[in-house]
Amino acid sequence: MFTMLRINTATGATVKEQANTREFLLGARTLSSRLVSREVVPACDPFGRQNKLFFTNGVLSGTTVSSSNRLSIGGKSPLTGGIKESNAGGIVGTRMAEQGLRCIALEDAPGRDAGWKIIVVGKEGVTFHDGEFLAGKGVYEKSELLVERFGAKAGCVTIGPAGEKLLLASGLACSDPHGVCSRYAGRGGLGAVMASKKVIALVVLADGDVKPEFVDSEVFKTGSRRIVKLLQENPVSSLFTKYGTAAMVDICQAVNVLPTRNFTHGWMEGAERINAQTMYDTIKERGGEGRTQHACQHPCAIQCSNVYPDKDGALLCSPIEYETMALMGSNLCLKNLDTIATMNRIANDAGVDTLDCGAAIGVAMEAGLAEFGDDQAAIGFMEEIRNLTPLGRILGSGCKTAAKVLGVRHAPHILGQALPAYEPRGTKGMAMTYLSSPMGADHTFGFTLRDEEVPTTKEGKVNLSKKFQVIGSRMDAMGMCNFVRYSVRNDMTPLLDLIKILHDVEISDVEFDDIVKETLRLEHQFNRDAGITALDHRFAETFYEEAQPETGEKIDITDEEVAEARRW
Amino acid sequence: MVKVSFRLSGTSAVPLSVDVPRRLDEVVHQCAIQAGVELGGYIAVRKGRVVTGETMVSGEDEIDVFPAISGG
Repeated sequence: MFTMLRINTATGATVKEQANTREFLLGARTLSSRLVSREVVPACDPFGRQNKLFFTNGVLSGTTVSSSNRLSIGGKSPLTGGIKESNAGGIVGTRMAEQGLRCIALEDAPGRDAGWKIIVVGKEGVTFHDGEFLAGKGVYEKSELLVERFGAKAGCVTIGPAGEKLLLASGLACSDPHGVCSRYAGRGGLGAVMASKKVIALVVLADGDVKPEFVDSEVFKTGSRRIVKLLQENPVSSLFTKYGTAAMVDICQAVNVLPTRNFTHGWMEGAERINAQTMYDTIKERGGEGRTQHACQHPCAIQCSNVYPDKDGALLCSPIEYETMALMGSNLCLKNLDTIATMNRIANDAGVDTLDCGAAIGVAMEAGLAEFGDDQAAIGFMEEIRNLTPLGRILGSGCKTAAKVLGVRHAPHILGQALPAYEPRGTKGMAMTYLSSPMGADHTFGFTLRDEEVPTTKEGKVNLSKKFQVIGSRMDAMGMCNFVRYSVRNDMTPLLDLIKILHDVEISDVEFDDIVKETLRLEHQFNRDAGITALDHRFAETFYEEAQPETGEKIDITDEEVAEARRW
Repeated sequence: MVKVSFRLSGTSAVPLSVDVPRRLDEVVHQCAIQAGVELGGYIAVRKGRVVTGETMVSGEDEIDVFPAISGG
């Protein structure tokens, strides 16, 4: 039996429900997207009483299986107007498992005059605490105050000042293994949704004592070790250990898809100044708190995260991911890792998504508010967001809003969510994935680039994108880290075996993929019911009119092809 | 000499004498063994263009080989 804890944020009432279905077994996006589909009125105001926020862990959460403790968060997105699943590493999923919880649902919303609350979930039940003392503070300070009150081992989810003001690009910051709320479910504006319920922090205490009940613990240990072995032996996974996702800078530059100058180019002169090797060397040279390897959750055999230190070796930002290096670096023509790290830190403190804000700043630069390549101006824009100035609020609402206000046609987004770090005219597979995702532009949704024989052609890309939509969604479907997929992409048996050993439930690979496809169907249906049409699944017209200089390519993908890529 | 560089591997470019045009995939695998690089999926780039394993390489071709990874 799996337990869902429902919390009414208006009345304080709580209720526990139990279920023993496949969706509760798998948890994660399989569960969160089904709950959103079933319980949230698609046409509702994302900030209204009818929206809900579901926090779910995955099928292997709370066990010793590497990289199995992602937290999935679902609700209706204020950024896209559609369904949203955003997930993060950290310790919250584990703490939920220790409390015997598969899902926590935040429901309803108090009146607009209600004060901020902290909701605390522990062994003794659920309590509401006054959260006014956290209001207006940055995420780093909130994080310290939460640790002070609830301990470093508590799993906390909080929002920044941007979320408190309902900015559309605000995310949810989740505790990392050190107790710092630095692991972001950043996309889709779910931080603002939690704020609309006047919840400034959700805390899952470390006093849970529920342990996994294994059918056969020794066999499970063997299966768990098998996953570690697969990860360690896979050359792709092991490369992540050294360089993290930053390795993508060189790859994207080589294939002309590194977003540059507000997505008008796919190549930047001097990109080597912000690449993985430079970052690795800088971290090693500065030493101190810097780490080229770091685990965002325990246990993890990949450890792709990092800690980027300042010149004195003190922590400046953790982690810095490729997508941020591109959207806050090359896309703004910035070639200084310290600048990117500083912007990333401010974004983490303000509680906003680095991708949507980086893209919004690109739009602002194109509008002439600053020159591309101006480091100080770029940091200044981030400070405007943190300080909630009028311009900051526009930028903190993402690139679609910024482009409308600032009069820029070349707005890099789908469904209002900024394109992540792959220039779509140079990679038609990624373009197809962006166009067909129910979440708005999302690279993790179906990562085709590594398997595109000819990235610049659209031929075969409907099928390729769909293939990787399934492969990519498998990990989300069960709460595993996306990077495990390299080791099981041709054979899910090692993970499905662990489910069998832990829960005594047999799921075949075919049945599992059918569940994944059904999730996609439900997500698209929710969006249709919410009023999203085929016309929304398009890039800005400029991507169809203007060729990317390096490849000579325009977007030539038709609505019919996108519709086919969305059909499940 | 065809030159194959395994990017992000910490190894030097591998020169290989190719008298008659050969499939890229064969060349890359041979060079990987020579360089001691464990080869998984890869993306190969010649003169700024992605080239497939079936592409014929010869003469003075310079190939950059990247591990096929993804962002996160």
